[in-house]
Amino acid sequence: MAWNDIIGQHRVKNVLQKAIKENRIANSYCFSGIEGIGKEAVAIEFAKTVNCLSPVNQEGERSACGVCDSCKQFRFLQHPNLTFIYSLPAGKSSDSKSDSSFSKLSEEQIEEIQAQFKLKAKDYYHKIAIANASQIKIASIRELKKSLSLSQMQAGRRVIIVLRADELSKESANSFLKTLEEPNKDVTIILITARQDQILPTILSRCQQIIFQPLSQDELEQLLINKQSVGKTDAKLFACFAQGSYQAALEFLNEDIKKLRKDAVDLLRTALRKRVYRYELASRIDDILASKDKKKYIAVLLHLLVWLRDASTVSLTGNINFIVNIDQKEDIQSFAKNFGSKNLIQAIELIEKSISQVNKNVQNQLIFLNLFLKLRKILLF
Amino acid sequence: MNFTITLSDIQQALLKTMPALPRKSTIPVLEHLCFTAKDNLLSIIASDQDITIMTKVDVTCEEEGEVLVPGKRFSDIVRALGNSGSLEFKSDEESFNIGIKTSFGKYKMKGIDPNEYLTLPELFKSERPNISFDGAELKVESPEESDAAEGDKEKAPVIYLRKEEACFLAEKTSYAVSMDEYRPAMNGVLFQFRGNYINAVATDSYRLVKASIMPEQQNLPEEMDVIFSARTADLLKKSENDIVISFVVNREKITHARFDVDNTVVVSRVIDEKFPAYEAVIPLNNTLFIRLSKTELISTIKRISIFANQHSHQIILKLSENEIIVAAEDDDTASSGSEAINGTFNGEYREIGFNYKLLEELIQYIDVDDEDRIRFEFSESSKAVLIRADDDSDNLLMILMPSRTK
Repeated sequence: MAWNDIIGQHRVKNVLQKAIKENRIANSYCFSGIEGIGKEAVAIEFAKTVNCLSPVNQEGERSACGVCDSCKQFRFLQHPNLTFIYSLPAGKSSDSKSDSSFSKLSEEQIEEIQAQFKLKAKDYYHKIAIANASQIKIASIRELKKSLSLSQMQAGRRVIIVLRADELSKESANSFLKTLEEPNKDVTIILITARQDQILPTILSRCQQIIFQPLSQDELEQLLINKQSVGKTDAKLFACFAQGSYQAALEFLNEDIKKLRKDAVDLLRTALRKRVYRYELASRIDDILASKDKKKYIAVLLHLLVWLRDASTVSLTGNINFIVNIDQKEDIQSFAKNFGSKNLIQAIELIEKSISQVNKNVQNQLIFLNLFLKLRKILLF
Repeated sequence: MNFTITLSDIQQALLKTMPALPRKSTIPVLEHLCFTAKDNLLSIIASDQDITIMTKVDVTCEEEGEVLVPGKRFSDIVRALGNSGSLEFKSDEESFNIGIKTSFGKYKMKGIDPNEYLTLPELFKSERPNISFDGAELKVESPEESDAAEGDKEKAPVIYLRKEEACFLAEKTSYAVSMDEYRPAMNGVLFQFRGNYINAVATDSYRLVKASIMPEQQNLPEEMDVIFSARTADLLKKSENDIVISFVVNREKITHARFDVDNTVVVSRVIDEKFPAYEAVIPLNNTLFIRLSKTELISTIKRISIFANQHSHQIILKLSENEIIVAAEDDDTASSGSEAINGTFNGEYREIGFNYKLLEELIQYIDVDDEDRIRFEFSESSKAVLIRADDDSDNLLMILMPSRTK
């Protein structure tokens, strides 16, 4: 990986590049922005560049050479100047002061962590997922402090990357304050979070904050085509659903997006039947809710939303080229013809409201039934 | 790679390197030992990134090479194989499969490509400082010929310590090292090199211990302070032979300390903090002295402490000119104890309290002569107390803060 492989985020790149070139690197940064837009990738790339023994300047950007001793160690993310802090599964018993953060974990858990970092080393966009890990333990912070007080293993700048910093437990966060405020020379701490509001204000105020914007549709498309070798039309579809997050797009990749869309459209079709629709609508909703997967409900609603958006685009502009569901041209055209005169915008708003209700854990059956009955009202009458 | 080694040799070698092998690590290569066979010598390296240990051992080498060996599995099997006989080690340069053959049978395991191993501290690349000691005179052989090319490298001092000297400094201080995470400088033992003597100092802010020696080597650095971590001090304590200490200096800062003992090299990071100015804490001009017997005091503390409050751990010395009473009481359980012990005190009646855990530990480390006398020196019951053997040697000073008496 190199700076060029980081998609988008030009503003952030400029800020960091400037800091590197002028040698005005802050002690601590907080990278915030929604999941899956390259915050961690930027952090690792930054660490690699500031540690590189012979960095190259190219097109006004300073990047790591990729071949020196330091860069070689970054290939496996085992550079001594790079430390990750992340949530670990709860150990067998409470942590006492002398325990290392790993000593309570089983062999399998350690292997899982090792495997996750291997994937991360291959693809900086990989999301580290460790089962049952929900808190950054104070033992991890203690170890970090101890190691920071020692002399450097290798010359360069030590970069500490705190993944999902919102998972810092209160004790960990408080024990971290002093380190954040006055770290040793040549240390940079980067907190990464998608939920900045969950971080203690005392922590945030000690960091220079850098906000990452969601990726643009084009950038996401490019990323999907280059990294996941997705076809062009599919890439467009996924990019549209992902709403700026590469992570979300990847999750869609693993699902049968077309089946989800069919489910969504079929639901709508059933709801719009002239006469006997109630029983079938209820049973279709039950089918979808049977998965008990919140992400899936949202995906179904999103599909419906995009479908209606396409229909309203077609009916308003008459141009078929702006739609997302390119493979469903005919269906959308006929839908637009039949329902174009209705208040599609209001329908879309209704769906958005339902999505937020799912996120807020409102009873799902009610949300769905309510939504489709209302849609029927808007579209048929 | 293919070599044969006797089991007792490999066991010895593993024993020396295992302290640096982390039991669990998220970096897979750290759980491995780096084996390099060359010129009938096998070098084994283990590292947890704080401490790196390399040891060399003679082998009969048929094919040279390098491989990373799963540390725990290998040491387990070697331990289980016992002491007699020998072991044939084979590894494939492409698949990194490792085969071990002994009189018991064959074992196989999977190694890792040595290219994935850490870039080791530069110190390993440099040679052992050529220094030897023949009992009377220190010989530093000029290394100029060998590394003339590295002439611009900053010159770091070399120190030769006898085994007993190193053990003394580490053993007498390491127990007093602080565990306080907010004061990293005190998490280690300060070594001060001052021309012809060395001080080792450790403190946890309740007590302070200072051990000094005049080593046989006299041309020590004039003014050099370095803090070794508690783990490093522990390794010094267990040293099996005389030690050569040298340092890696980077940008005018000591980054690593290197300890050479026979065929083993330990490279350790040092604590990069400023040690508190401890000299000011040592009470001088003391007018009050308690003199008593070490063994008697320890056995008294053992009995009396049973009656001490389990939170304050306080015992009280009631001092008067003709009698010293050690007492403790615990209001919570309505228990108390007191004993009179032999000793002398030169002031008017007063009481002084101590945390018995800290006191007992300190006293145990005092070396006394046949008369078994130790001395407490202080000026007031609320000020720091200097504890030492009742002679005039200055090689071990201990300072303990008294606890407040009611």
